[in-house]
Amino acid sequence: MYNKFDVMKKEYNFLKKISKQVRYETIKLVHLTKTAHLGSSLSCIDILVASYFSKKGLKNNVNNFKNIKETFILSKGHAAPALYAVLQKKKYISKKVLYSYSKPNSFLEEHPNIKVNGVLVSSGSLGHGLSYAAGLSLGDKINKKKNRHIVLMSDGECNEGSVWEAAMFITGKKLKNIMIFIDCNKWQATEKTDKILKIEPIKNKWESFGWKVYEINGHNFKSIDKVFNKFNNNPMPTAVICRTIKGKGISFMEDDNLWHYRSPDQKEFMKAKEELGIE
Amino acid sequence: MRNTFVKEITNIAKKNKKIVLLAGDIGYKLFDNFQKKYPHRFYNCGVAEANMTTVAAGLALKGFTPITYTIATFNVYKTLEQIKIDICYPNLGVIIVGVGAGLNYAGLGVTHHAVEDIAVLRGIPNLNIVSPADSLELKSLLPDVIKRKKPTYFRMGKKGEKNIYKSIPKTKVGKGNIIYHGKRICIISTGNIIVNANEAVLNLRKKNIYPGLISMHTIKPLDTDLLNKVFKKYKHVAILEEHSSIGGLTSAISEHYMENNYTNKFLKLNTGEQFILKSGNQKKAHENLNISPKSIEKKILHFLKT
Repeated sequence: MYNKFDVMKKEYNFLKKISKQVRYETIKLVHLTKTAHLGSSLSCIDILVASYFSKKGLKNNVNNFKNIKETFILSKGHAAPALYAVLQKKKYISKKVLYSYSKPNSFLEEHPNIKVNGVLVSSGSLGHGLSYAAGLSLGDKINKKKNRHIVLMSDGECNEGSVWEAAMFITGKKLKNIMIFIDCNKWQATEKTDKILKIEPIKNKWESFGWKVYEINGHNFKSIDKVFNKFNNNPMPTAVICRTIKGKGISFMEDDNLWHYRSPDQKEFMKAKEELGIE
Repeated sequence: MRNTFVKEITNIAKKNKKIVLLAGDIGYKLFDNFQKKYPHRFYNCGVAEANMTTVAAGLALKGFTPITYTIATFNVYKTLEQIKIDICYPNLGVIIVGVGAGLNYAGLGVTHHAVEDIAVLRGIPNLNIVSPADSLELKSLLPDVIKRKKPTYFRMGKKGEKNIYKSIPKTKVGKGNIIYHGKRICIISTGNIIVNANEAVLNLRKKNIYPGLISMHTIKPLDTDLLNKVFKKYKHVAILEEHSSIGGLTSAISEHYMENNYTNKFLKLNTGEQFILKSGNQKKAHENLNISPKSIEKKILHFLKT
């Protein structure tokens, strides 16, 4: 006989399994194409997987151009390989399309664009995604609809002034059906995030802008699930500070900013595969 | 021009329920009537133009026809990447209104001079650039701009401009409008500086010189058919614009000219390449920059001797 605890445990184990597969596909894509941004992809994979696969997360047919309801925007567009791997697992794109990543004649570029099924807005320049969600949510408000809009951003992205313009606009216009995940992996391209511009205390910053803020372990599915639950009933927009590890999941990549740009060679790829327990 | 714009858009919004007006904290009391009539379709977005531009893109994705409205400098220079990536790349029908373009705010200083706006925007794919000559031409073009649902930069004056037309002209986006047919020389202009050309034309007529005059209100896409006719009919062509010598109407026309084998002579009348200081007001700025009616007249007389 199942109790609630067993059901949840089963779901989290399922998410963990998916997450490992997505990590593997992401590393393989970056390895095969010698492209960048692996560390930034690995830090947000658990957030992506929870958003797309958790029962409380996004419904199917998200970002449907013909009838836009629920949306998901990868505002930190440089995590594209991770997003593509998730979109393939969700059957938005085929495996063949996935492995056309970064090759000539493929729409799957190193940053997502709207030609890719499942991608609503093109990203790659930081600081645009939240304003887009604000526009979508404002449209819903005019139409008296209540759709959820999820944005995945990075901590480094909060350097951009437009992020804070959007943050004030959203609370100023009382738009509440927006939830942002901020992937705080503590690093940006060249240095520690908090050393470049003063980002901390990031929780207080978002709170002072009128958002409901949660600070969670961004690799814990139970925690991510909880915020999805709360978001549905929050009277204000929701910001989730996700404490994450850049390069998460691979021992020699974790918290090492070398992997912002570096792609794994054959030996490193095989080691990563072994660590993930992929046959 | 801005009062006409707001009046027109208020009228159009009555039937077209998809129009949403976004303003960048500008136009004191200007939108009161619109707001009263359509309280859910007007939003003051604050002095946060980059966000306003992408919010408009989000609304357009939802099927609305958003219009962003603020001073031309702010709505172009602060929002350039948003215009390119969020509006033009997905080809969304957002209308970006730049009020007080050119030197309409001459006295407010360089921060408010939009004389590089066309240059900055012209290279972006999918974007239309429309710059009406006066309130009457604006009335004719605005419904067409809305109907087309294309990314459009709508470059306007501010208020109290002289009209060049006596009634609303029948003209469309992408089709230049012939104000006068002429002989020997044709002046091509865009935006409200065309009134200076008009005054010059009227004075030149007294000297038995009859210039043609064209309002090239659409800078992109350019009416190349009309240009071909002009190059064939007139040996001398003058191009007048309240814009830098680089990247504006003159550049657009010369790009087309290069692709063809014409042998015309050109006179360029523009604001040069400089930061414009100590002008006080628009009229004085035109005098300083030799684009006042009197300067235009003089330059044309000299030009015809060449």
